[in-house]
Amino acid sequence: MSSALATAGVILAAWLSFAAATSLAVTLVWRTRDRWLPGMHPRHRAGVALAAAAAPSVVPTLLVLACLEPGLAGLAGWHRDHCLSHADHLHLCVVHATAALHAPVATILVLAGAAFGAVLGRGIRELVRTRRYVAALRCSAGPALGAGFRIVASAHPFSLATGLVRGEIWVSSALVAALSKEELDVVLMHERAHVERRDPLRRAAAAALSFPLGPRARRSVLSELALASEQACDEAAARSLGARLRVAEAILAAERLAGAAVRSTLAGLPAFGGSAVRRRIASLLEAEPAAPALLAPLRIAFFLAVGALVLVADPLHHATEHWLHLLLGGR
Amino acid sequence: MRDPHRKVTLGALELTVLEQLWEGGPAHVAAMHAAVGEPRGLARNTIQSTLERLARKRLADRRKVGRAYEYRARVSRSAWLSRALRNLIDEVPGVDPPLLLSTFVDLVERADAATLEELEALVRKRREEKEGGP
Repeated sequence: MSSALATAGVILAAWLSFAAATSLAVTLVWRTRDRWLPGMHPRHRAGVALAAAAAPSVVPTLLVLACLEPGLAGLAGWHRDHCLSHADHLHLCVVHATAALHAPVATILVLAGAAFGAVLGRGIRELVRTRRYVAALRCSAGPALGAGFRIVASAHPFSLATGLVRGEIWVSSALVAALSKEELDVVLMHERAHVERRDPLRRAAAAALSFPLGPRARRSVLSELALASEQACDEAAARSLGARLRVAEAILAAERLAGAAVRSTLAGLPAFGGSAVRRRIASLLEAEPAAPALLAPLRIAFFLAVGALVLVADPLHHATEHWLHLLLGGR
Repeated sequence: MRDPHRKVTLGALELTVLEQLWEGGPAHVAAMHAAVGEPRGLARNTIQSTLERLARKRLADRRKVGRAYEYRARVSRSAWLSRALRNLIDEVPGVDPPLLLSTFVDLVERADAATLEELEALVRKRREEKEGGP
């Protein structure tokens, strides 16, 4: 194995170690969510779920970058090169390459790299599927209307917001025909809120970044994100219209229509769950939860944490190298 | 070789017979005729040919028991529903869009009729309280 590959393997092993630790921490914290999550505003719940989904990829990436910082800073002459001070364990460094890894360790890391590739491939496939789906919608849609949505010719009643960068709203002709004008207004306000919140992008990011989580925790986090996003958009529609019950009535009308349409196409299709609708309606029957302005303090806290990583980069780098040496037994 | 994921369409009677195989388990033509054919005024031959079609579509298996064939479902209800939903997704924009998108109401996770009625009653009650209040 060349030293470049060995170095890549060491970096991958560091990333995997951090990802495993972060995933474990997220899973343990997520298990306690019933105690602190339900009282939050849906907007904040969606933010928490997005953070829980993203952390298992973002945190290890930041930690690995912090670990690589001493070597790069030494190369730039900013401070003493850490790697030169020791030769007794492997280097987590892109400047001072690791000579080689033991064959079994190298094999495991190659397999892990292949698994990475498979995950990436699955994400790309899902993106392609989404693009094809939106292209199909575009083919069967009329021109964009003044109200900022397009009507899709379909016998199935549905509406949705798409677009990772530029949002679009699609409403089926069946839904337009079946809902009253008041109900349709609610649907459009709800979908507009999805576009303004960039929910398609958030969901794509959460799906892509949450892959290190165990399947059960990942499903739970992503489903909480989906529900909280829907509820945040319900709240936005209710605020715009000044009528919470109108939103609840529109959801129930759309649910009835969708249920009837699917049942008429698939005889024997049983009802699955329905807990999301129950939670959305129950939440709309209550007053809107308080939503303190948390975004600015959280952003500051995040940047402070990233700044702190730079300060602890040297000991973190050293401790991680020791751990990897124990784990991989470098040569 | 047949593609296991190929699209299979079923008529209403085929679906009813398949439902009966899921619900009642393996059955002879006579038993199926009694359960599905007679209530609908259908001839025994119609039921027999329906079972044969299900076997040809690889949704049912048949084996000789005594002098008659016994039919049993070859796919589970959940596998069939999953396959049927997949066909819908391929054909109909709007039904179960890709994971990255969300619809105003979820088209796969359906609330049952009782849940909907209960929720509608709650909303109606709240509306009446609001409109009848001071």
